Amino acid sequence: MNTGTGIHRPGVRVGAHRRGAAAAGVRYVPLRPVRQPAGDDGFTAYARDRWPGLVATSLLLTEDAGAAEELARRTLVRVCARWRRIPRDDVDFHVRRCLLRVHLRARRAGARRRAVLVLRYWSGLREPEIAQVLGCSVGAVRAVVRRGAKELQPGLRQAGFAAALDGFVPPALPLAEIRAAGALRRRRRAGVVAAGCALLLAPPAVYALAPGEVPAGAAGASPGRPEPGPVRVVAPGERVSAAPGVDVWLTADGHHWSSPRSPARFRAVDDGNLDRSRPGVSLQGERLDDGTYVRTGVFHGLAGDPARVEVREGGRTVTADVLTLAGSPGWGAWYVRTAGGDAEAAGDTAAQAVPGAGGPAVTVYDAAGKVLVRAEFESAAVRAVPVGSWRR
Amino acid sequence: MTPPPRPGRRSRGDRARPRVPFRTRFRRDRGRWLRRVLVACLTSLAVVCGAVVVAYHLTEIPEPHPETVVQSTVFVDAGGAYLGRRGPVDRQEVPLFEVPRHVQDAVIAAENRSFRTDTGVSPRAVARAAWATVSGGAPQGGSTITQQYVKNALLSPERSLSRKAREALIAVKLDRTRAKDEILEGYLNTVYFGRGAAGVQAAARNYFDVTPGKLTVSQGAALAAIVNIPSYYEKAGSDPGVTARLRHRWEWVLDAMEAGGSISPAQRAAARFPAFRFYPPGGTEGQRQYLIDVAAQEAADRLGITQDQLARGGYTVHTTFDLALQDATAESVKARAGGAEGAEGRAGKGVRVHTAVVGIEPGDGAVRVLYGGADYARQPFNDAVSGSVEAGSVLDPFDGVRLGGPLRALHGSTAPTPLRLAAAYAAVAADGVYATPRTVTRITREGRTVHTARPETRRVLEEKGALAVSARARSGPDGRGVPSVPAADRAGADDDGPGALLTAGAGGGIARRTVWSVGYDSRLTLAVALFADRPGAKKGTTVPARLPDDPSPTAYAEELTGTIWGFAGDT
Repeated sequence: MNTGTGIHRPGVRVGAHRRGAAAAGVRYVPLRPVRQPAGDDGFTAYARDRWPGLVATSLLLTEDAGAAEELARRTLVRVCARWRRIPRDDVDFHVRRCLLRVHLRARRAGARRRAVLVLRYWSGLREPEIAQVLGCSVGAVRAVVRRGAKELQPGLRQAGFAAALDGFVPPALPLAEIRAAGALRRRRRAGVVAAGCALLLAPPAVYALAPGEVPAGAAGASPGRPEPGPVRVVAPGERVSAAPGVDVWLTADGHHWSSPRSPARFRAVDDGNLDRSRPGVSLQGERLDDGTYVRTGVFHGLAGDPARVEVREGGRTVTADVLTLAGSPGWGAWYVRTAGGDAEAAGDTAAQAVPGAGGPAVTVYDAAGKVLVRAEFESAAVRAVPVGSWRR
Repeated sequence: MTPPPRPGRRSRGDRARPRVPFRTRFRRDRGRWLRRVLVACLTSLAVVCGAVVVAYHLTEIPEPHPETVVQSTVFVDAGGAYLGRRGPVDRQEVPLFEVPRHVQDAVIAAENRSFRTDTGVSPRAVARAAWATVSGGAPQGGSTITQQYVKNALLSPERSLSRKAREALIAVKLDRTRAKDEILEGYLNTVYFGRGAAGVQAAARNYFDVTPGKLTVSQGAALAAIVNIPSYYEKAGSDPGVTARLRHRWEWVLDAMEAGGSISPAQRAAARFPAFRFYPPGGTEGQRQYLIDVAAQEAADRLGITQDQLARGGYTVHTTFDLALQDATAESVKARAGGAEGAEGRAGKGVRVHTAVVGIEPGDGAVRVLYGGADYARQPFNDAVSGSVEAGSVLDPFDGVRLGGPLRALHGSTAPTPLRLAAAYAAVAADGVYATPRTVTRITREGRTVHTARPETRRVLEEKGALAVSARARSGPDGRGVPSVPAADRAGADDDGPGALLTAGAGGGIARRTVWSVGYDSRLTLAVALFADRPGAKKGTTVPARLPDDPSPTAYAEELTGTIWGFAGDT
């Protein structure tokens, strides 16, 4: 196969140079007008043009006419299948390489050596090009060529090739058959590639879409549910500062607090004075030197775990801090610091609201926003008002 | 291509033919290059695999890192409430069966869901972590629980790639040689939970003040959620932002537990975000160290080890103290100290009034209350145990009674410690049976009892002698009958039993040097000692001083005894 002549080869500088100055600058040099049927991609023209050459090269390679035609045909089928992906400026190389691959796949002893010599002395390729066609190193090609030159003079070998092709009549090109086989091959190939991709991509895809693996941005508190207030577990005797100079702490027997005025105040929960089987909440308090009030108390007998304690006083609602001992002993304490100087008379250290002025109301909610107990304080008397919703 | 090329033309063509453009050459050789690269990759992969196999066989599972073996010793009171701890780290080991299954499942759900089935390393987790890092999602760790355990407990805390590789090798080896439960136990006992707490036992106490066995589903899930970023989540409760983030993660852990079947949908629906202890925790009344000092000394003596060994041994010392009573005592003393401090100025410069309180259970020797000083930081010396206080007339009731055993020396002594004196009167209260004072009831370690303290009793006094002492105590200078406060409250307290409230001391009138107030009945012996000192001539020394007489020290001591007695009656 002579690469130089008669090649439908767009824009190849190589060709331009080889044909001399007259052809220089010509980008597209069909040797004969090619009639392309509508929708054709140039394969038909190419196949028609190169069929005789292909069969001739095959014949030199295989030394058998029938095998040669079969080899050329199979090569063209393959070329047809991947015609679109063959670079247009390098068609001959790819076709030749395809031919050699098909030929060498059924490897016989000496086939490779013979192929090198055919490419060298019949097709006229240089050693680097042969190496590229065969996918081996230039050195290996050179060695074969040298040995071949030693065996037989290149001129004689060329003559031998010419003699072998003497009287060779290329068979007819089975174009329709080639095209059909090529299309089939292309479809098969596409199917295989698609299946491979699917196999590769399926596990990651399944993995990425698998539920439960991605941390869900947990749903926020449902609307209507009050935010839980600060509830704090304390160890027995652990001091919690409710205000400057005011400490609140719990022990197993009750609720303690100390303030500048009264160093040790204590509300026992286990001395029998408190009916812990019924829900209740108590309130004590004191006015501090800076005019603010500290209120604190005990809740007990609740049907659920308290999550929020609200103190409503003088039209304002404040959330109290809640203290409990570990293990939900059934009672706990709350404390809150409120601004002073409103409805209450100055110097009211007993912390019970002035009657009639709307005393403080203490409400204990659970985590779902349900009222566990509610108490209103108007005088010194501590009156627990159980709310119907706490027990069903 | 049909005609053979003419030689002349071919050779000229050879010469004239330019090199094939680089792009074309590259395209032609592309396949070959790709094949070469592939072969190189496969070869290096094979080499790496071989190296890994060799490394695996050469790797040995190291002994646990010395730092992670250390445990602290925890002291609890008679009711099991936490008193304090000794030791360099806050960690105690707990056997896996004492950790509820749902807590184990929560940790597995949060940290390594495939823990029960994986091989020590999880390529899936690594891939997921890498993907999360690349895609900018929530950062996730690719380490399995086994790897984390290896990292925390077995290797030194250094960070490098080779360490990571070693960690993975050891993890695989560990996984193949040990049971999953064993690994999980080691992990739960060493993983850091924040708040200085390593291990689930210390974490349960620091976050919820409970033992691991009492953790609820919510609490267990919260602890499991904390493991991710302990230094951040340790502020849970006190910082609203941290609490909200922890809450998100907590919900996620619970959802994962439900998805994994660890908890039922009903349990999931019922779960409420738990309340936490705050960090840092509130202070205590500042004198628990006195109790711990005494109990640690006794526990070490009982076990026959040094205090240092005790502190690193991971024991739980169950003491005899009653924390509520102790707390009430400290508060009572503090409340009255306000008045005493006012008196201080009048009494003279630098005079400090010391109060020591000892409460002992007669016949048993268990020390319920031990007040030896207001603030351990200022005065580590325990007045109640080590302070010799001039007895004065408080020993008068023992005059003429034959004492045996440990009390034999009482006649000759002029300045007993409050503890000794309380023990002597406790013997009287127990009809003459002396019980050695003790502060330890039981010592356990990893759930097993290693020592049980029994009362050491012996008769030191005839019953008649005990009655005589009681009679003299009641009729003494300030003696009275059975303490009146508890008599009313206590069912079964009989008037004719042993019991007295006695106030005595050294010095008289306005020149009192010490005041003792002793109250006892068959259930409690309470001794209050009052004395004063002032700085001595040399720096760092003190000399005894006169008690300030306003307010009256005798009245103060009596009132204090009565108050504490009242608290004791309540409990």
